[in-house]
Amino acid sequence: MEVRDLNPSGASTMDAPAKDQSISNRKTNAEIAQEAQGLSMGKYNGTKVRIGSRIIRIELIKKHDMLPKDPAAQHIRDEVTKNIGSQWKSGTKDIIRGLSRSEEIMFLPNILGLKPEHANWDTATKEFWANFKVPVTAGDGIELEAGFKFKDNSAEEAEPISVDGYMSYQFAQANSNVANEDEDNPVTYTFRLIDTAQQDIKDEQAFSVRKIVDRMFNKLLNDADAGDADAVNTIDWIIETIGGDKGLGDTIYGMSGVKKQLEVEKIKDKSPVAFKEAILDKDLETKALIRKGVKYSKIRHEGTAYFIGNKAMGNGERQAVLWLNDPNNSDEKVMLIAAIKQYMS
Amino acid sequence: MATHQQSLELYAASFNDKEFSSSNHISKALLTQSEWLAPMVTHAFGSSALYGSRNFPLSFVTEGMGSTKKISSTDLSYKIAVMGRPKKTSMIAQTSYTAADRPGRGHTKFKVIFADRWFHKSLSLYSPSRIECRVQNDPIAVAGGWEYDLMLMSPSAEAYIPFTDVTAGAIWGRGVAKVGKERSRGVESRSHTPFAIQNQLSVVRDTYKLAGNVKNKVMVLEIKVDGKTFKFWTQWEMYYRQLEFKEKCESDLWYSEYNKDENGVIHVDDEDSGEVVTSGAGMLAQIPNTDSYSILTTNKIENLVTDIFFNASDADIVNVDVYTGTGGMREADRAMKLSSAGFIALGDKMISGEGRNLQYGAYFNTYRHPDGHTVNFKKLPLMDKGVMADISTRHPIDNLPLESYNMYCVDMSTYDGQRNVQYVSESGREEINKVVPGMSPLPDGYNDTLYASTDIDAASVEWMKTQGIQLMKPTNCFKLFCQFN
Repeated sequence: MEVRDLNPSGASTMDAPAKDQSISNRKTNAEIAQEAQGLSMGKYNGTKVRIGSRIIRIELIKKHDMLPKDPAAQHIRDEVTKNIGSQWKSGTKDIIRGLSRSEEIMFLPNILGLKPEHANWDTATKEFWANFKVPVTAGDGIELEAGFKFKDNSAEEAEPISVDGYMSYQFAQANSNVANEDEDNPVTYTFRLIDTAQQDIKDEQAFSVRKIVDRMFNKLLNDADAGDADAVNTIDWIIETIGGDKGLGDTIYGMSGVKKQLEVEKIKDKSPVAFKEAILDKDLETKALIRKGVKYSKIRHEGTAYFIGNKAMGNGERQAVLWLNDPNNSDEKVMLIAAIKQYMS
Repeated sequence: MATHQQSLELYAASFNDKEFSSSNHISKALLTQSEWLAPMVTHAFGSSALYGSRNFPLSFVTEGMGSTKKISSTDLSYKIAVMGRPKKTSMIAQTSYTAADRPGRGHTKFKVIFADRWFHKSLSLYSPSRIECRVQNDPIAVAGGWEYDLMLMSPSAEAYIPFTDVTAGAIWGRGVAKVGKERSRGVESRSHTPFAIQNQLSVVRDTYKLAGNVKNKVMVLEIKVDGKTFKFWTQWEMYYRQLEFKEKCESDLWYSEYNKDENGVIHVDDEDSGEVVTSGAGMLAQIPNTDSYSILTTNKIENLVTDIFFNASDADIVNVDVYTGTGGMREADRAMKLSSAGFIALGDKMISGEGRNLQYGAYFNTYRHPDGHTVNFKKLPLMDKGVMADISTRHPIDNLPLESYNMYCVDMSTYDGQRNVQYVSESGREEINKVVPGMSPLPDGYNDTLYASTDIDAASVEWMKTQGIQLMKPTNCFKLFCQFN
């Protein structure tokens, strides 16, 4: 028996007469995950990017200076110029740039008035970055728009909302005088970069995961209620692998169907990512078998090594899974399943 | 058997030559008349007339040229008063309007809240969209600012202030006070006061210890340096030590870090005395303007000088000295040669001489800024050979220390008869040089005495001075660092 998608396409689904026909029309878990991850994402220069505004704030790190501290002397402090300027790129004879070579070809011709085919292109781009600067003012600092939007008439291709903001952000990020948000050593850094969208991105990502997981959970329970044996088994395996207080597996012995579903809901709410990974895990059944084997002393787990009888299964759970899935060890696997079944009956 | 070569023999002989007069020895002068002779020492070091200005430019142009200030405060701190540009603007602190509002339309009064009480009744104000309004009342304190009643000067009943001009953060400027044609009252005035900034002196020391009879040991090989000939080891070492101390002091004037926190507390103590160790802000710590570069271009020089001097309080045309090392001098020359390549052929400038005695090489070291400022690139050996150069990473192309490429722009101008860069020391402790006699003969310049401070067969020479550097207008200076990311 192998673990696979709960609703695989092809013969196995069609061959399941007891299953509610509506189940087969639903999307697979893999499709659900793929579709949900694609939310608010666009394609920029061959990579996936988040669509939406992303305001980057750059502020001066508070450090001692010889200027008057009086709030009324703000205009004196405003006379100060602090620039994030050009630097050599470590380990190279090149300098830091705010755009990749392919991005330079996209955006710099308009700025430099030069085509990439021109003989002076390399010199002109290098000089452009040598002169590039991001001036940071005292007080609240500056804000840069580094987000992406969909290109006109495209639902997939993205482009920076502000090319200047995007390349200033990239340039600042490459500069060694600029600290990330959690770095604050005033003798090392002059500027601090704060991604105001970072929390939004984290919230969105967490929401996106929750959304996927909720759909997977509902589908799992619906399929189980409709009599899908795979779904019923998957509920057991999830509890046996990532259930319990420590998330290391729990026994399903004596649990009713409803109790199992409640337990899976707890797992899903407690750790949506672990739930999602478990449900997409092709080796979930084998892992459940190993956890049960260890729990009922049918498999010996010493340190990181696994043994069945006198035979070593491998070092680490991954190797133990491969060992059990190896057809050469099918006799041991059958005996293990029988022993566990006998123990639980 | 080979002939004995006396000149190659390495030996040390006792020597007691009275013709080695100590009257010319620099340490004697320091011992007896240190307070007023300290500036002279800066000049006297080395045989070259430019030695002091080249190697110790800060000491030279301040201490050496008499541009010094003496203080008497017990904690070695001092203050100077600075004044910025005249304040002409104020900022909108908050707004109650929305984009749909039309403030001031139909010749009506409208209210705005500024962050401070800088504007006063009757003043003409200019909004960011250059719309003239008149202040119609005395400002009233409200939560978060000062509330003003304004009226548009425009004769049009349709005119109003755009919403963006009354949103928080919008900067308004002041004009003149306009009053009624008769029986008007005088208007209020606003004044600027200078702001105080604080710095402190560092107390720096050095010690030369000698033991046994080393004073009377003569070297087999004479050491010639800076036009002097040294036969005695202690003479040479004393000279070297003083030069080294001078270099350390000069270095500290540039790189010293201020160590008093916002509450005036110094957290570093002297473990021997338990006293706090004061460390004043050196030149770099006082310069607030900062930038970095990789390849220098005239564009970079031009923009940076514009940024600094356009923003600075004093818009006078100034002579700017940019101190840099060999690397920075090269970069400046490269930048200017590259920029001028399109305009002039440098061939005849680069090659000089006649016949077979040709010379190649001519280098830029001055940049004339479009605003009239003159930027002089000056080589500072400290940046090639000083401590920061020694700990610096290497340039990716030329392999010189990166410190050699850093550029420290110092405004050496004189404002109102006062030099912008001032050397500061504590009155009475400008520079002290004493000897701690033991059983060892003392170095030349220090009178032998019957009394000893220790029974150990040794003696030591002690130097101590208080020093600090002060930029009167730090905003007129900048630091340009050549860095890796």
